[in-house]
Amino acid sequence: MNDFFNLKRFWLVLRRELRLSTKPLIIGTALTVGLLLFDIAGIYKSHSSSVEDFMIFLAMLTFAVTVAVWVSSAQISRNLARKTSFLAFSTLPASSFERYLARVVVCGFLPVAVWFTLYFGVHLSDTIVDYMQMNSSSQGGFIALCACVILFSSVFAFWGAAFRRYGFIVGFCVTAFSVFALFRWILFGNVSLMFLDPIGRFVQHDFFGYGRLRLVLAVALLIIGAINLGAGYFIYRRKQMIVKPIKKK
Amino acid sequence: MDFKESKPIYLQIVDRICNEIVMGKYPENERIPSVREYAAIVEVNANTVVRSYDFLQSGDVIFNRRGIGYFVSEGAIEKITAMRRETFMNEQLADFFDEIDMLKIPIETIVELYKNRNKK
Amino acid sequence: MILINDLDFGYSKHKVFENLNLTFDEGKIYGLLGLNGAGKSTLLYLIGGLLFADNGKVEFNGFDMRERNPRALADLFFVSEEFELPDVKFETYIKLHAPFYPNFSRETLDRCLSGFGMDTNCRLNRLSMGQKKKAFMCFALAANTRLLIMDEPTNGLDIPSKSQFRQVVSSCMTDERTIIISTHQVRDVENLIDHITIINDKRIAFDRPVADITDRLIFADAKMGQRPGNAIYAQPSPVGEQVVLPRNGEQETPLNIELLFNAVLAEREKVANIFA
Repeated sequence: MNDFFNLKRFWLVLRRELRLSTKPLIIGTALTVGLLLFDIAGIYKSHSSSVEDFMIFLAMLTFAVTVAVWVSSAQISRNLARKTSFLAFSTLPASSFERYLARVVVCGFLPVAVWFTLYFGVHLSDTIVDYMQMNSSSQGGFIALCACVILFSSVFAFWGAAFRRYGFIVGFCVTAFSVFALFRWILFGNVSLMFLDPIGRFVQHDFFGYGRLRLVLAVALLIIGAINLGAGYFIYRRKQMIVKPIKKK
Repeated sequence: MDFKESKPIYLQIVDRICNEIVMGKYPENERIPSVREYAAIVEVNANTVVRSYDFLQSGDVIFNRRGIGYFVSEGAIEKITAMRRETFMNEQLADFFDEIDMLKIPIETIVELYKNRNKK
Repeated sequence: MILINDLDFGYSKHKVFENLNLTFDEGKIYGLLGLNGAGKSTLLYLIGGLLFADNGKVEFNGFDMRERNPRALADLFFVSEEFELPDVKFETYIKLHAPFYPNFSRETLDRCLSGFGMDTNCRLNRLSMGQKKKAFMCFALAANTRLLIMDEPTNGLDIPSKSQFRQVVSSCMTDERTIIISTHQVRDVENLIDHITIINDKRIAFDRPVADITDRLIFADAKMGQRPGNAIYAQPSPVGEQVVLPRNGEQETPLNIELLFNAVLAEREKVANIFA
């Protein structure tokens, strides 16, 4: 039995987290969907099959996951904040890595996966609606996407209202959007977050020019994502130890 | 020097078991609870009960059948009575004599009181 | 099976332990005592791998607790004073947590629960504080770990429950298990403990089996003006005084843990000399 990672043990931890931590799951999902829906949707809409664009997509996805982990990092460590839940979690007979991974899955990956599935669901329905009633594929896509946006904004708003203490979410959202805008400019030479042109069509951006730079940045984002997840592990491992008198909350 | 002390727990348990045997709760050649079972009943550490059982074994009140448990010996009740008689003579009686000496009560007074006690 | 060697531990402002050496063996129930703030809970966290020592080693079953090896964690269970039970049915809790402990026994769980007059048919967050504690302790005992640490286990238990606690713990004890009970409520566990460890002033002030203690010390009552000359310690009582003195061939007396504790703290040297 491997002491660092054991699949069966990991599954036990994950199962426990899934069953007992529905709150961070929902918050994470709402946040991720709200934040990323706008931006990443536009990139994949390019329908391009070039390696470059796929790399960029992959990089943005990794970055998105990283962002999700960052955004949810408060959630990941949330169960360590209170003494009682800290003890319950830290004394589980599992390795630190298994614990970390389970929390990352629940607070980060799953919300992103939910978004991802929904996005492709939207994309799929966009095509179906398209064939069924619209002339222009863009219009069908626009309606479907609008519906999606409204739905998830409402979820986001609801949970934000339900858990009023999360003022940090607002601050983070502003920062995240700024960061996204910056990256969009670097990668695509476009600062606009809007996808819709005046007649309701998705604006298809031309992804030329900056070629090599974009590729390098794409790889850099992938590496950053991986490093971030790795660093998160070491930080989380330390957090599983009581390093100062446990605060009673 | 005069100070009161109470019996160690293991001896208290010995008394308890002896009382149960005398009362008939555990007849001769019948099994008594295991060490752990008895420890749980009186809520003490099993090692204390081991001492009690050892004490009873050495007094031939109970015997051990390996792998099966402890059983009440034949003639246990007589042995218990004999044991208690001896303890009384050695301890309580000695204390009693010391006490009446200290209070300067002549033994004849005690004998008189004892004789009259049954007449009431 | 638990070895603590040259342990140093402190928080930034003050040192809690200095050069601590301690061992815990199988088959014994240890009582860990100390004044408020002496570091009982800290020591338990160090044993349980929840705290790292500044210097020295804590070893459990050959595992260095610093590594927090999952196999070591699967063989120890920590019942903390404050603990959390999630808002689920007890059965769900068991299903989620029992697989972590390879020696978990459903039979033991049911037996312990019935000892407390409970069963698994309940929702954990709807139980009273005392019942939650009982449920958690039953799970802990059923995990059949070789080491069981309990921090103030009888705190919050009503009077009948204290008795049930003793019965349940006594019946679950084996020769391979070690139970460490840290408590102030010594009367609740008086006859259960067979080894006493007292922490005071950054080190172990006293660490002896109960059999040794009752062999070498007598705990008695003395009337006023009749304190024995060789008494190590005395404190007032309704009779006059409760005294501790070395045993000189007299019959043994039951151990009075509170009296022993006060004696150790007041006259550490004298007590140490008796056991030297």
